[in-house]
Amino acid sequence: MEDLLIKNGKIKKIASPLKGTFDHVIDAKNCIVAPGFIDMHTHLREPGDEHKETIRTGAKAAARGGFTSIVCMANTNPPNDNPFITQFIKLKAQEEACVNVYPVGALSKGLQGEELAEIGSLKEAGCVAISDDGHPVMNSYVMRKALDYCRHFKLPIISHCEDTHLVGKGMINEGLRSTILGLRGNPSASEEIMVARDIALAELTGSHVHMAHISTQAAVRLIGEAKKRKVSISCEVTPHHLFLTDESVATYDTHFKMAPPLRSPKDIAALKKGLKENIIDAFATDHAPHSNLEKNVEFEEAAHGVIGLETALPITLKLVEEKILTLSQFIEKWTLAPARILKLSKGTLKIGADADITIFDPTKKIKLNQDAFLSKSKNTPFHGWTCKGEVLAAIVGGKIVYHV
Amino acid sequence: MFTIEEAKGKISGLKILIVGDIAHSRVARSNIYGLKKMGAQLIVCGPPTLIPPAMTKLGVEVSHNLKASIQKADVIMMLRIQEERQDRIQFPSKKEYVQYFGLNSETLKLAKKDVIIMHPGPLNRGVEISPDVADGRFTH
Repeated sequence: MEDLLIKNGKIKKIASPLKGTFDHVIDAKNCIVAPGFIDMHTHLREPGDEHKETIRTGAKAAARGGFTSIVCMANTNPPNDNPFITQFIKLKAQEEACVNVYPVGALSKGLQGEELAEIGSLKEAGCVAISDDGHPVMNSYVMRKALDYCRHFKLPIISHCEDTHLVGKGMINEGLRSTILGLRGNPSASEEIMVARDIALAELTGSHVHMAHISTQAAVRLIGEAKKRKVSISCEVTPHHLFLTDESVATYDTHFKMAPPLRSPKDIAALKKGLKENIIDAFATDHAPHSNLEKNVEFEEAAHGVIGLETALPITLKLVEEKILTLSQFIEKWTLAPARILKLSKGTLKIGADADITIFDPTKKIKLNQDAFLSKSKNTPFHGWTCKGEVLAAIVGGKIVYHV
Repeated sequence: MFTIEEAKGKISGLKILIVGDIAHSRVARSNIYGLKKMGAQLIVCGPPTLIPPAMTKLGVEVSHNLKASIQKADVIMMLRIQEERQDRIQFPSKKEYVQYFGLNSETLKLAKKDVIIMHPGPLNRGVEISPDVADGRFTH
């Protein structure tokens, strides 16, 4: 057991025990003191859909979930496809967000997948990656040009891997459940095709593709093979794709509707194996807030997506209990791994690093309760779950931004 | 080549920077073959989308950073964006192209004092070359 000293927002010293007098002492006995968790895939909805989430509320939810940095996707309204929106997000975050907010810039103008956004200007305004997330770039020529263009700016492209033509109006995994429910299916091949294409384009251009929220056995297989050939790719997986299947949709509950859809037990097994073998680099929440206006409607009409910031840590911690990951691998996939992919100087407790810290009790039993969420939206698929792992504090740049 | 010979008194050993739409340029290809034969070193510079992937196999250096490359050059050759030859998107906007690959008096401050600037024409003033540079004292 060691003590950690924070001074001037940086990690100053780690020793056992620290001696002296201190302004503030946190007793983290029997807890894990980890680098601040990073969510590399968050939707903050501001500007445009502030009734779902704002930069302020999303950041609060993040802190409560143990996240000290969040990376917000470009599909706001208007989308973050120009430096003025990026600057707005950065300014708003500076004033109102209690955690670090890193914007992702759009790949194409208006997320239309046709013309490149001003990627250079987006980078200079502060974007850390480029993505049309939510709108897969179907035109391979555009994707290729974006990858070529990004190489110059050393920005990774985050790809939402679904062939939208093949998805069509499919809204849940194609299989027995979609057949029984009479809901149109989205075959896992829609993901497989795009993962294969993006691997080919990463290989062709030498640029980096990060594949968001992979959900299928096929994706894990393809990414594993490509990594063996040293193709510059990485990928993330969400808590919901790891712990829920299309069986959950049985009651037409729209809290189980997202893109890509919940898959089968076979896919979950492959995702877990992919984590164990380090084929899957990182976790990400894909926190996608929607209000009742978008969710409390017929399944076909409902918006895609679920929130995740305030449930992600205890849900994914199950993987440690299941012996899929060690505790330090678990922490790495929420910290160092996303930091590396996005080239953020975060995710570490090294002396001199920013004092972004997550403290959690891995043994404490908690009941996930949507009424306690600080997010503006309540669309969680995990309401009522009992898990182990309570976030006790989140510290950002030496400042306690959340504590129990 | 005659202009370079006339201005510099030699071609051999010079560093010649060709900037812009390398992919669609016949000028760039002719110059690469000709000037290399005469002993010059070639650097081509532009966004990765406008430089063919196998360019280095022609024995030229590839750069995507105009400001860095300009400092090494004895001769800067600016090419225009050949919109009539380009298929769809190659870069986000002319504004962003100018920001990174346009030659203006500010970027030119980084160049050697005796640099010469060439352009095969027609010029797109305000795109690959700013008007003050186009009509300036380094231009040949």
